[in-house]
Amino acid sequence: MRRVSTCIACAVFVLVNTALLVDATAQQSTRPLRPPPSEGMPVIPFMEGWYANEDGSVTVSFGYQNRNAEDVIIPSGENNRIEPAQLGGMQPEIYFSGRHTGVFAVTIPASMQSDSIWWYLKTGDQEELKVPGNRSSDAYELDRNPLPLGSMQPLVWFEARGSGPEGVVAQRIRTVSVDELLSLEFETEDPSVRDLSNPLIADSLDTRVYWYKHQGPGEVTFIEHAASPFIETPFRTTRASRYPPTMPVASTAISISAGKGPARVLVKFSEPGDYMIRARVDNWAAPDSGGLFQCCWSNAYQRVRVSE
Amino acid sequence: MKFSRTWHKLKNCSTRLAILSLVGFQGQLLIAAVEAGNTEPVTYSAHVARIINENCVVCHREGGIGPMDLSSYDKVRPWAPLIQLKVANREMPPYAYDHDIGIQDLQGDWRLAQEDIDTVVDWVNQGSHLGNPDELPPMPALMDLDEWNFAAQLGQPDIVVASNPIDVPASGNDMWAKQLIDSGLPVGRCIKALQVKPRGDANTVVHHATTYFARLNEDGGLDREPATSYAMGMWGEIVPEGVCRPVFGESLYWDIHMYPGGVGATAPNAVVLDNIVDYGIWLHPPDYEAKITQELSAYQLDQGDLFIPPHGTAMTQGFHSFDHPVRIDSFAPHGHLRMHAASLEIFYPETGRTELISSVSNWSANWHHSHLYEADSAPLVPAGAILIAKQWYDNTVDNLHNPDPDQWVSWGERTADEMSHFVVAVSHLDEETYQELVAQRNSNE
Repeated sequence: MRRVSTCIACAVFVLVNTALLVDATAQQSTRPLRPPPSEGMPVIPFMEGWYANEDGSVTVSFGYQNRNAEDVIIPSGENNRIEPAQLGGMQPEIYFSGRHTGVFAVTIPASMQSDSIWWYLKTGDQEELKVPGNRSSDAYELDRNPLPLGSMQPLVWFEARGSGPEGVVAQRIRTVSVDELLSLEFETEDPSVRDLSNPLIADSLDTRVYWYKHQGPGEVTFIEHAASPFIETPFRTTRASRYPPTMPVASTAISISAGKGPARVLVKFSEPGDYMIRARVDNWAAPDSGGLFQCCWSNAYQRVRVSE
Repeated sequence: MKFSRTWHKLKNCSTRLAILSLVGFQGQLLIAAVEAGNTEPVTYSAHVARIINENCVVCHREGGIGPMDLSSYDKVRPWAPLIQLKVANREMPPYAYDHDIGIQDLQGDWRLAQEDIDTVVDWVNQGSHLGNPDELPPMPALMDLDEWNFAAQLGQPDIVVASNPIDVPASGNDMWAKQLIDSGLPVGRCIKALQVKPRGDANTVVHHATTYFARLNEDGGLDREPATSYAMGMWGEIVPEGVCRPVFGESLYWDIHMYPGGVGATAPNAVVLDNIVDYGIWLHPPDYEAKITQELSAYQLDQGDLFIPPHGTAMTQGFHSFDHPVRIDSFAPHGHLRMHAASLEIFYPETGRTELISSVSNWSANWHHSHLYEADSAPLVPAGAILIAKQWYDNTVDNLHNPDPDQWVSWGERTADEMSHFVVAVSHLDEETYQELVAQRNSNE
């Protein structure tokens, strides 16, 4: 902290005194030093990082933080959009409480590399927040290389294999009626190669799959599939347990033995409309892997059209 | 930060011919004083060489981590205006700790004396002349850059534990290596000093290396206690006399955070093969006894609420108190590229008084320091007093280290994310020992 100086030349430097300690002028709001409320806070968009692809395109990973105790709904549209619009469509419409990394990704074609994309997010009557996505600072560069203990992004597939925050989107749109049970399934395999003689690594690390409603107008209920029982997951992080800011988990999760096999769940929908279900497959049980390490997990998306 | 007499010299000069311009070096302001305040001749040979040789060449030499060689006049002269700026701003040598605020008696204090700063400033103001070459001082014996920082006073470490080698690519995501090294460490032995030292080019890519003493528990799990915390630039730790920091476990657990591409001058954006970090421990003899036990602890500052908006700033605070008296032997704030300042205060509930212990106005992630207080100056904290740590973050374009001011920033593991905690070495006291130390300190004053 620098003291305010009467030196004229000093005026050109950034001087921070005790008067105003939190300044968000660029976003037109102040954040005083007091415990924030448990509701009414805007959801914060985050650009997690960018991947350089071999074809010259750039894949940008996005996440968010919902500091409220309750989940927040922000439908796609003016208050939840990607610009340019042709690259949008994958951003979530439900924002769960807590910090969530790499929830979706946008791939900027090589022909548009000089452009930035922007994710705009406005929570209710709060200020509109935005973050750019581009091939920016090296500090935000991500890669798909193995981590020091061997962890890699799990492979996921409905048809063609994919991985990472951009993951795979099922080509086939599933259809179901309101309150009718629908069985969802995809394949997953963890390609990580680990030295099992390392005392820090347990034998045959399992991966986990967490199911989320990603987009859609109504309630989504996940029901345990007989072949993929739900497992007990860590207590969902609340604001009361802030540090370390662990990654909150969905209330429904399954384990994939030795990281290879199908992921299955039953789901039903309360209202007609178009939905997207997201499954996150991660190997965060490994000591070198975690959400805030930006590796390793992959998303699998399934569109569902629900009729009356 | 209170500006020095030198700063006012520059300002006075500038009022006669005020010139403020940006230099090309990362956007810093260059205060160009046209007329010297000091008219007595100051030359490189007679006055400045000693200062640079003793304080700068250790890093700024062939093979050193500094971006330029400053080992002779011919090499120094082209950089004179920048040297003046860096020295006047107290950016170099790289030991950020505010003068005239709080405790100033520090071990391993790299800061230049005001007199030396004034000399360098005057020299540049006068034209940066060589002077009489016959007056050039001999170059002092320079520390071997691969040598341990405490070797001169303590000899070689008693034990050195090396991490397993890892190749670090030229770019990409941050990397974290977690390793458990079965080291046969002598459990219970009291530690005299500790240093973590990346080898060679690893200096530029090792962001931090936190170590723990570890041992298996009855359930087959791993119990561990902090051994030492290294972040880029840290010098090491010396445990005060009369204090025991015991070795907790026979194994060493490494948690090494690496930043591909690196920071600093050497090996930028290059692959670093076989990155190895060494951990050196100096031990007291087996029969060494001390009634004071010390441990290293990290305390958090609102990390769950650390949000820095685009083009904005933020501040965090953390509070911690003990139910028994303690002595704070060192203070090491930690953050990443947006953090730029930190302070440590002590609040005494019985009197309502707040004492500012340490202040760092120009903190940089490139030069972490654990500020080791001299034993006679280390804060003696009564039970119930509250440590108050504050840290400031700048996500604007004015922060030269900011990788992208358009981004929201919150707590995270990567260099691009932020953290907010401080590490202190705490000597735990009983009331009797505390009173003895207080009485001793009072009698010495």
